[in-house]
Amino acid sequence: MKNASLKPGIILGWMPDAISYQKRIGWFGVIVLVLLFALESSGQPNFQIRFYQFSDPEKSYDFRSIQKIPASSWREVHSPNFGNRGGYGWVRANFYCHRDQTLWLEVRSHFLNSLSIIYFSDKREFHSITTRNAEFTHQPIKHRYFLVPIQLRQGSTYTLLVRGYVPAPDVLKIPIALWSPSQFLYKHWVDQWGWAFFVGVITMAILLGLMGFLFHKENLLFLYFSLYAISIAVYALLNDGWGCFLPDQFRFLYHPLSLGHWVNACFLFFLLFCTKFLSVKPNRLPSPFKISPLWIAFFVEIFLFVIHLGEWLNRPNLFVLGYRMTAFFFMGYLFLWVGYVADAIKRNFKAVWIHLAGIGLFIAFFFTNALIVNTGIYIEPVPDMLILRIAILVDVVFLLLSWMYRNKILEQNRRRIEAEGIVLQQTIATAIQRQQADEIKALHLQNEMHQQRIRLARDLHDGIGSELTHIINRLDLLSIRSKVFQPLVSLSDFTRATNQNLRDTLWVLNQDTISVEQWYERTLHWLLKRWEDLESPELIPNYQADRAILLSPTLSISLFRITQEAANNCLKYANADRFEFTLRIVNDHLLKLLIQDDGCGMDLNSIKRGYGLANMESRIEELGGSFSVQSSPARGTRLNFSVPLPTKYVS
Amino acid sequence: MRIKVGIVEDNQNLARGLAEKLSLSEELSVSFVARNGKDLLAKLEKGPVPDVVLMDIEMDEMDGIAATREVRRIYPSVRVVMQTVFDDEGRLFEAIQAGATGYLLKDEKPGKIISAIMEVIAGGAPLSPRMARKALELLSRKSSEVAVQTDTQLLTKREAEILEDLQHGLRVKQIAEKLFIAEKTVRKHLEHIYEKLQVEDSRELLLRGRREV
Repeated sequence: MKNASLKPGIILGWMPDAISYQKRIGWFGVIVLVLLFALESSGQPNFQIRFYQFSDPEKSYDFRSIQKIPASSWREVHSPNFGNRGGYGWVRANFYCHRDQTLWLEVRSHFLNSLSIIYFSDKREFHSITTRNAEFTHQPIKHRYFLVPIQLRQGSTYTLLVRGYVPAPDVLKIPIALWSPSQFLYKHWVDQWGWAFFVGVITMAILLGLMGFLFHKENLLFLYFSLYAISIAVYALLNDGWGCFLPDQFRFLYHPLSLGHWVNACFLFFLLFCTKFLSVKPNRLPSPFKISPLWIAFFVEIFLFVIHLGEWLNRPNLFVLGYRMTAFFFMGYLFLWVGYVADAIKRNFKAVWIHLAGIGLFIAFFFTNALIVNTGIYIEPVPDMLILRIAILVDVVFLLLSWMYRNKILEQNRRRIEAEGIVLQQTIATAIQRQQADEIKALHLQNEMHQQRIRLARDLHDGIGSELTHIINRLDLLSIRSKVFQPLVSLSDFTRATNQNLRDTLWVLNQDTISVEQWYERTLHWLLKRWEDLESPELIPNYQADRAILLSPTLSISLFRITQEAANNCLKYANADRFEFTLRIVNDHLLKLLIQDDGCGMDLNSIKRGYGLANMESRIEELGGSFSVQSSPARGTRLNFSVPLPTKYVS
Repeated sequence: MRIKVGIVEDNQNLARGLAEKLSLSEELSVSFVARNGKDLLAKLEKGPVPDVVLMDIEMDEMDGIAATREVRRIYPSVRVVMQTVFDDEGRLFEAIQAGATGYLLKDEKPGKIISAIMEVIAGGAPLSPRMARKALELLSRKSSEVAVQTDTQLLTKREAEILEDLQHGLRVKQIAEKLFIAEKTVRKHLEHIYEKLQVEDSRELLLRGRREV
């Protein structure tokens, strides 16, 4: 199941297989083009009626006076040009009709505002066709395409007069032709190679888009592209006069204002396409660019409706308002597009440059066209709609090119990220290995230290401890039996104290961790032994601490020695009734040890530091703690120690 | 009647020193000196059986703890007192669970050794604060196991009080004063505590508890 859903996804995507699909469609497009060109080269030479323009184009004549101008004053033209001062221009044609038929008069011009066609025969037949919307001074869509049927009778000679109007400063230039319908169709199907090319490429683009939509993981990108290509192609074709072939019920699509809807759709899908194509995340953009193009399309539609309303109700104000607002919202599309492109450039998304090149060429075509038209370099410039179609083709081709380029960039990025990922993984793996090696080393070291500690403890235990014990035993027995009693007793006690020191050191050595509770109990045990044969002073131990807090071995042994020193001093000199020993842990990080007695105290000024206080002080300083002593004769001694506990010892 | 004391010690110097110390007392007499646990059991079999055995912990053939267990099993009347160079409380507690009713350091003064033996004969030696806490923890754990099966509490209220006091560093004399009982009574309670510490199986405890009720 997974495979099945994956396989179509690679078409047009990252995998080399997808490229072959694109190639196949490309080849299909090329074959279609070749066929169309072959058809064109086999075409017939077309029949054309000659048109004549009045030699003084800038002078205005009405219908009555124009008839009086003799034929010699007219000159033959391919594309009448009436200058740019504003006014009416006349074109005439004379021809004889062999049979009853309908001819199509094709008139196309950018700027034609209204058109009057008058034709009459030598048999007093008279027709007048007027297409006008000159009531509105402000034209929404200046481009005009007229295809007017002319009914002709057998055996008559006709005079055809065409009058066009264009406001200044536009140039009235009327490419004009009279067609038999079959010729007209033939020309449009075959003769206009641009059209064939256009249809071929657009079909290809739409096909590519739809294929991508069905199978590619970025399917919306393809959908938007297809819809953009469809709407702009429809616009170009309808605007090119192809709307006249639509059945009557669809003629509304061809209405100049209806073309606005197509343009709107085209811009909307183009912008949606741009967000996907340039990988823009609109909600990450600065606030004015966050707005969805759908809103702009919505407002454009509303004001297009206002234009329609103005036309129906014949209210120029409404019409003008609708037109201006529509133009305004079309500028909104441009604004958003600039935002997207700026974002893509900022992100250094390289595909944007090809995209910009395509748009640039599109615009350049129109400028070139306008230049040619307005400077009158050529009598008959490239037809306006052909320019549009070529521009669209350029755009579509560039989009496809940049698309491939984009895929290439994305693929490169993906590979680079993959490569970086592999490097990163290797780095991590190396780091982990190194860390593990370090840990193993540390474990070895720890283990070795543990072994050494155990060996040291055993040596002390089996050797020195027993030997000291033996010495003590002999001294005890000697002191009892001999006459030199006192020196032997003190020597025995001294050795016993030495053994006790050894015992305490060994105790610390044997502990992996020392909790504050263990320390307290050990110290209390020592105090109890020291107090064993004493009636006074009273020993008052006190303990307020969290039993889970751990002490470092250094701290343990130092505090233990301090307590021993303080207790021994008290017992030797103080002659006290009470000896208080208090251990407190404040907020898990401060150890407070308070040792006080109610003995005779001492004069801190007179005593020498050799009293053991200096010793205590240096021990506490080594631990980063503080020490204070309060003592006065007859008021006892109060020793206050406080040591900060490193947080790592708090478990 | 002199109290007969057996010594188990693998260090010859220390054994001789201890024997000499004990001989200072009129009330004690050293029955024998054994070199290890096996030797001790052999000597006990030969007789006479002493009242108290002073037992070293670390020995080559059958260490002090195993020997204590054996002695208590075969000769329940014999009191065992552990003697160590170092107060390794973990090992000492094991020894108590094996049946020892006291412990002392080998470098104690002669008077202290003798009085410790007397204490043991009178009941039980006081436990150090840390040992008292261990005992309390062990017994209350066992007690809760027992309480699941019956309503009987393993430790009596008095015994628990005494253990608490020992844990806080009070001496026998102070405990006696505090609880308004004789020192002798405190020692009797200690004896019971020692007995209860020995029992491994909680079912056996249960039976013993019932018998006492």
